[in-house]
Amino acid sequence: MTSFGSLFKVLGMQRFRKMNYVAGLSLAAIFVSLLWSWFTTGISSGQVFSVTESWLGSASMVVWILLAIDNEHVYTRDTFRLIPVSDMKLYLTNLLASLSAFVYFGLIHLVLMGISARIDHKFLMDLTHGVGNVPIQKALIVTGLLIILVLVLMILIWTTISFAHLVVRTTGSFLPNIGRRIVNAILYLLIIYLVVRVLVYLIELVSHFGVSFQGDYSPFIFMISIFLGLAIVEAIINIFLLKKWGETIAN
Amino acid sequence: MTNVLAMEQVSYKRNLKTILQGVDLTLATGKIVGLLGENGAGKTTLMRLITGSAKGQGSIAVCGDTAMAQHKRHVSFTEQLRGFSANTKVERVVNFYRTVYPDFDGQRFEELVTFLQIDTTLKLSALSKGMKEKVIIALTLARQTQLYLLDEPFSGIDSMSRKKIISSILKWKPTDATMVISDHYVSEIAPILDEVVIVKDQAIYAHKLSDEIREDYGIGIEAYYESLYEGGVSHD
Repeated sequence: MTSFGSLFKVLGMQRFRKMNYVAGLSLAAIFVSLLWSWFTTGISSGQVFSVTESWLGSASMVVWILLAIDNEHVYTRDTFRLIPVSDMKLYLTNLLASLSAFVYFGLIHLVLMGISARIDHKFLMDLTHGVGNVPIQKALIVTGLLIILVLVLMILIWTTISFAHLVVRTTGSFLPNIGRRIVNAILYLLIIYLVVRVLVYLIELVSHFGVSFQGDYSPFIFMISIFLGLAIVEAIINIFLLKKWGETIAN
Repeated sequence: MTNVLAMEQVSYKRNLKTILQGVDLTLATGKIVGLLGENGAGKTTLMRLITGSAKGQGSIAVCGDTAMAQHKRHVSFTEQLRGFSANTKVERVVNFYRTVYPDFDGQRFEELVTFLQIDTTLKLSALSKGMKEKVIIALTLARQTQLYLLDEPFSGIDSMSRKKIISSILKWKPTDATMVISDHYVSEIAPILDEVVIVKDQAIYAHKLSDEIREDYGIGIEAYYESLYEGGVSHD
């Protein structure tokens, strides 16, 4: 049987390569944008930071989508499904490979953000001067909890996409073509509705914290626990669906 | 002689349409078996059920193991490399196989590469259909397993490449392993087959030794196969 290390290597390597590629493209875009500004209007204070953040923010969304696609490919391609491992090991390693690649891109983002913040140090100090009086320790805890919340949310959305995908593939075993299409359409609408509801709730939560943070972290921890719990339940269902009905695309 | 494959009452439906129904099939070790049937008869589905790529009902044991995760260890299947992007180089695909299959024999693969004249520096998108099939055959045969499933390895391939592939099958098939080759063109593979399994009417319509066909009916495999569709030979 294939070891976890070998499986993680093949699933992760391809994704890490993609992360490097997107990071390279983002750097090129940042460089070209700044060069263009330099030649036309000149680079204003804070522009290096804002240009870097806007490109890397968009790139983060792109890598998240790319990783979601890679995740789903593994379940439907014989190339991966024929690897001699259990469905549970394949599912969990696949998820871990995507998460690791996302964290890796996050670290690249963080380093570039640090460099650009250093360049625009004075502008950022002026901007944040006097804004709020949150102690540095609390600010760090909130930042840490936010990062965990985002990562857990990433996992939850990936497991939800897989859940929808696997249910749609499963319906093919039980329903005629027309019935399958109706069920799929209803399922997709339901999932879009749920994702929008969760996002709206999150935005409300984050804005609430921005306005009236009093040092109570429990809503954050509660949200993280709920999302993680949901992701675990979905992962268990997904592994079951994968094992029982999850077919690959035929030759 | 031990059995490498034992299928009992295997059925498969897709979108409520029955593809295979009540399939019973047992294959002994060390054979080359032709899996024959017209397009859409269910040959590929049968192979996919064995690998676990398709999910049906019934019992399938490969080398005595009924657990699907274990089947993958015993079976080498000609998958179409759909998990790789078109700009992936062949050598990267080989590295993938080397990493995930502990039974992948690098030395044997190199010999196959030389024999089949494969350029591993090419990207998948640069391979012709015949060359891609050769790569797939080389990857499949480079694994040291008990059951090889070659799904239509000759479709759309020129006769020279077909001959090369047939030669590689004969040269590199381990003596104790069983090889199942599915096809609807019988003439070129008929001479190398020990047995034929014919899929027709959603079931195994006939399972015979090649010698038995020649002796009992006095005809070749191709004529026998065609006669089943024309109703010339009664199936027992």
